[in-house]
Amino acid sequence: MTAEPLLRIRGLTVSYPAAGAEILTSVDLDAPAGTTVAVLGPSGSGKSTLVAAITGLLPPEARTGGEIWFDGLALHRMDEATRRRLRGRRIGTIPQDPAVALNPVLPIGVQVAEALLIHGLAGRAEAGRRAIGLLRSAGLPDPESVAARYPHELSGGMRQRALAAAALAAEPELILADEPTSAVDVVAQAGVLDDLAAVTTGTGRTLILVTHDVGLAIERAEWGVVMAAGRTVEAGPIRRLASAGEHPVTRSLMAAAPHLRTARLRPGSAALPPARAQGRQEKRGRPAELLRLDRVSRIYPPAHRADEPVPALDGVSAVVHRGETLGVVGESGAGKSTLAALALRLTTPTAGRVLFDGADLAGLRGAGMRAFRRRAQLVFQDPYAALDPQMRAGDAIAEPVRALRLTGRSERAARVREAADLVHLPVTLLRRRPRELSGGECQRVVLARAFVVRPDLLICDEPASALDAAVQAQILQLIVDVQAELGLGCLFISHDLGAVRQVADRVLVLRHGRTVEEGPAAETLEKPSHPYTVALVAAAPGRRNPPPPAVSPAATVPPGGIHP
Amino acid sequence: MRRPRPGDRSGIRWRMLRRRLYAAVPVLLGVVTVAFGIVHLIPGDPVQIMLGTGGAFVDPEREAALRQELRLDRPLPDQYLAFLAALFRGDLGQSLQTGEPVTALIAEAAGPSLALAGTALLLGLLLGAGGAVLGQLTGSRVLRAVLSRLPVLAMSLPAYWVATLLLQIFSFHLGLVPALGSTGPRATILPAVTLALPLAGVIAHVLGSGLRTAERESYVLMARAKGATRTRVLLRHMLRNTAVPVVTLTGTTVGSLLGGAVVAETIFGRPGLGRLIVNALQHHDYPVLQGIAAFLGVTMILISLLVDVLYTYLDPRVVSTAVWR
Amino acid sequence: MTLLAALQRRPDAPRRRMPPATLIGSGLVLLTVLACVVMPDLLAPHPPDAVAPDAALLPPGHGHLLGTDELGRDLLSRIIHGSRLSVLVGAAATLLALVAGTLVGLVAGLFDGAVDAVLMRFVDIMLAFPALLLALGAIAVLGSSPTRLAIAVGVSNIATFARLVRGDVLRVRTRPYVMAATVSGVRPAGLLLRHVLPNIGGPALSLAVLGFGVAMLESSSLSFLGFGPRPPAADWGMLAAAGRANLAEAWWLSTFPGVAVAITVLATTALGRAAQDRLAVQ
Repeated sequence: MTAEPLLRIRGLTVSYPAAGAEILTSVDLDAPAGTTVAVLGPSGSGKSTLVAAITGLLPPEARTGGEIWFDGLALHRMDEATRRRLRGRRIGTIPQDPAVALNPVLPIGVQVAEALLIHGLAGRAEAGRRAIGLLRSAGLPDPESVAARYPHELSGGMRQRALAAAALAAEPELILADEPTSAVDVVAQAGVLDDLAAVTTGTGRTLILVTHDVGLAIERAEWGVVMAAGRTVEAGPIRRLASAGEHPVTRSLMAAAPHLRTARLRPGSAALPPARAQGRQEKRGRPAELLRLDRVSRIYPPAHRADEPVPALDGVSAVVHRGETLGVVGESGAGKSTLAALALRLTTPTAGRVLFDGADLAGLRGAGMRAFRRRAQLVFQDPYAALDPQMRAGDAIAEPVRALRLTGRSERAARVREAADLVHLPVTLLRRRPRELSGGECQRVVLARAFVVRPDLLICDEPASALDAAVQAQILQLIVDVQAELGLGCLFISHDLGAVRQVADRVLVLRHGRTVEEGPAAETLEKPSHPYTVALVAAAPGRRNPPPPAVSPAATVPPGGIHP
Repeated sequence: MRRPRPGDRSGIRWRMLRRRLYAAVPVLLGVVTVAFGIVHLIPGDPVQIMLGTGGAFVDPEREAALRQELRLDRPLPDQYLAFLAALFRGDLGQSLQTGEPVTALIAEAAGPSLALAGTALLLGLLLGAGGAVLGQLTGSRVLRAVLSRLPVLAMSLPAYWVATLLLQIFSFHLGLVPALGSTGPRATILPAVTLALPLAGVIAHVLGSGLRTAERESYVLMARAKGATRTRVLLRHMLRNTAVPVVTLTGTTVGSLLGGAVVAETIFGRPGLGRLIVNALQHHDYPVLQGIAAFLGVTMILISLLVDVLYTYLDPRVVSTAVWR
Repeated sequence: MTLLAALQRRPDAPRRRMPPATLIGSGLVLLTVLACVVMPDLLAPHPPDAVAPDAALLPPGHGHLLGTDELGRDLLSRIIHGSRLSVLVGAAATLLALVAGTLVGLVAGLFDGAVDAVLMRFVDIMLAFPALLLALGAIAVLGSSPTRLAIAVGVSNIATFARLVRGDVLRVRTRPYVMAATVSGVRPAGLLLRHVLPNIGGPALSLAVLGFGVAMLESSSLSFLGFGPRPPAADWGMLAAAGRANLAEAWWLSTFPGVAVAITVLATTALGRAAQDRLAVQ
């Protein structure tokens, strides 16, 4: 970095005196012109605040300090009116969640053309025409019709492309992309990033890519800046950070990066007492069939009588054996969650049968139903949403024991402690309510609630995708460990191929409610045969990653993960 | 039924409205039934109560005539059907006090009431929306704080208190407007202000808190990241998104304007629906009450349909083309 | 509907911290009102119906803080004694609306399909009438007395409570933790008692606090119009109405009873909104 960088930040601080919170304590960043700089860090490290500070769109209560230089201009001393003229014109922003970043009541074309109108770069008609061109170059098919549509009429990937088009309309030199793809599917994600790469490389534009996804950063950026708890802890070429990062946060981030070539996790890092592990040994001798979905379909009634019904699942078959994990992958809308609901008999199939231990779930009533509820458990995506905010962790874990009348009152506490132990949840946390726990701790509570009844089948619906990479790795390891200890059959649903690779023995690929491909996890994900699986795997971040450093995440990260 | 193509918004709009219209039918019937029920829910013999001055002698002939006129001598299902049939013809019966047709009484009273309600609505919208927008745009912390607190104050003031206060100040002390009686434009000001104050409070409160919520929305930040000024963000992006709850409440408020009119018309001595109701209540004039109940219920249902139509223009998500895939 | 619906916190609204001064002030106002309700004789400087012809229509000042009426009765004392009727009618009406409305809203929110549809149509029918007129209709049927006034005002607000509670029930019901409880084998009754009720209880109670203010406004308006208690009993609405006779000479007579209503409503509204922010369904 010899030439003066396009963006230079020195000692940036952001605080909210009223709330007594310091979000950024010391941030330094250099973004040489024409490069892509990844800003990495666990959630809560202040990445989004950094973006808002650069654009000058912090809430009015915020107090800032330090210096932000953009192309020789001192942004930190600039008045709002001058700064506003830079926004959109010279500094473009691509926000995080395309579902909420577009105005729901304005047509797409108007929103894409807006920056041109604001900065007087085009008249109304001309701006409208250019918006269509922008949408086309953002990779949207039939841009004329897209321009006339409203955000809710587009898919997540299309919205993200429209947002990119809107941000790039006035051809800014600096583009800030704040987790630009965390809310879209892998295939769409890869497309959006490819398009972004196309506009930045070779055009001399600078891209600041804020992400918690290390795989994506390694793939897309030249430089990396690692943030933790409001300060930059390390910066340098991204490959060096990946292979020889020095700071513990860097190392744990890199170690936890999903990697398609990592092998399936082995149980044992949790150091189970050998006696307990052996107790289940005989069950693993010959894998018995636990759950069978036999050509199940689930058709939802149409929203309006005159419409055709929408099949969420269409003739899908799957088997889960004891002690084995079946990974189910696919984009949103592929029918993954419907599959989970069917397997748990939260809904019934419109065709086909769901057999649990040989018995058809459709016939279950009363005692049989309660027996099934004890044997099959669910782990949700968002641990906060999965816990009743009014209920203490211990009560939440005890709930299935109480509801299914498994033990007397006196034994219940012992069962809860045992389950908490199993997931390494400190007993002191049992008296807390969900809002007093971290995301990782909440997910442990959810896992303990599932394990407390000693189930035979565990259904995980995106169990780690709402968590930071490091915590994610711990949760996955935990699932694998407990699975080995209890001899669980597991149905693991995720759009994250890296996570599936780490826990699944076999994989089922779904698309539009149908099975696309099925087979052993290693083979299917490394040498996919169906074109759709090929595309899915190709789009997954991390396929070109260097092998992860030989550090176990559990060794560097304190239990519960890193909190700000 | 034809399946609308994606993008065929007007087709979907009409289809949706037709569905709302169907849904309104049972409510309409229910409202009319409530009106019918008023007479039948009265404990004791309604005819005795209507004629009676508390145990005094009642002319048996008059009693029989009234019974017949109200069809109370017939079985209940018969009465109900006859009531519906008469209603369908626009016949709401005659007032017990004056013998005039109830429809004529309502038509006569509706004029001044509508003028009052209309003025109040306009004033309330202006004050309320103006206050909320000003509170959002102003750079002054003090003004913003004041404007964010005023709406709840305005909603908490009893209408009769505002009315008497206005009378004292503007009629008795300043002599600017006539105190009582007339319906001219000048005499409409004070009652309209009385009714407009809580309405302005409601609008300013809902719009203001909606705008404060919208301020943090991602799409607003995105618009600002494009370089839009605060005014542009407010007018172009935030207002329309916030308008939906405001329109809903304004729709239901028209009803409470008529409720408030009862108080305002009594205090300012104006003719109108409110006075008609109070008068009918005091004299147990049940046909008039029935008629007004039916009239108001139907009016409110029509207003909520109108609100539904407005929705389809304000929020494209209401006429979603996505659900058709 | 309108006032309560307008004051109801929107689910997506940011949590706001109310200044402590507002909360303390509101609490003090309500404590004072409560003290008046409990022990008016101790607080009132004069007996409320002590007639003194030579002290008629005295303006606010020494001896009579808020002045006297045309019979020389002390206005402050009459307001203090009137608080009991006003507050009790408002509270009883709110209790009725809360209990009945919560019941309807719970049932409608818990059962899909026909039950919900039928109940909500009834709610729509009730909402088609402005609350004040609905209460007037109820009075037309019931006749007027403090109890009947409370019933009328309560009935007129059932639909609003039902609709708002149903919204909260639906929000809770679709939360993943309820699905998680189902998977844990919790039966419908358990879901209701252990998850739905605890989570809607707070919002429903804070709604009731707001509803009390609305009920006070409505019941005092009806009293003002002469559909409330009969003299010599006098609540705040009746006191304000009585003052109308001397509006030109004695402004204080109709002004102060209204101020009492307004202050009480403002205080409960502030507390209700603070409670809503704290207890909203997450």
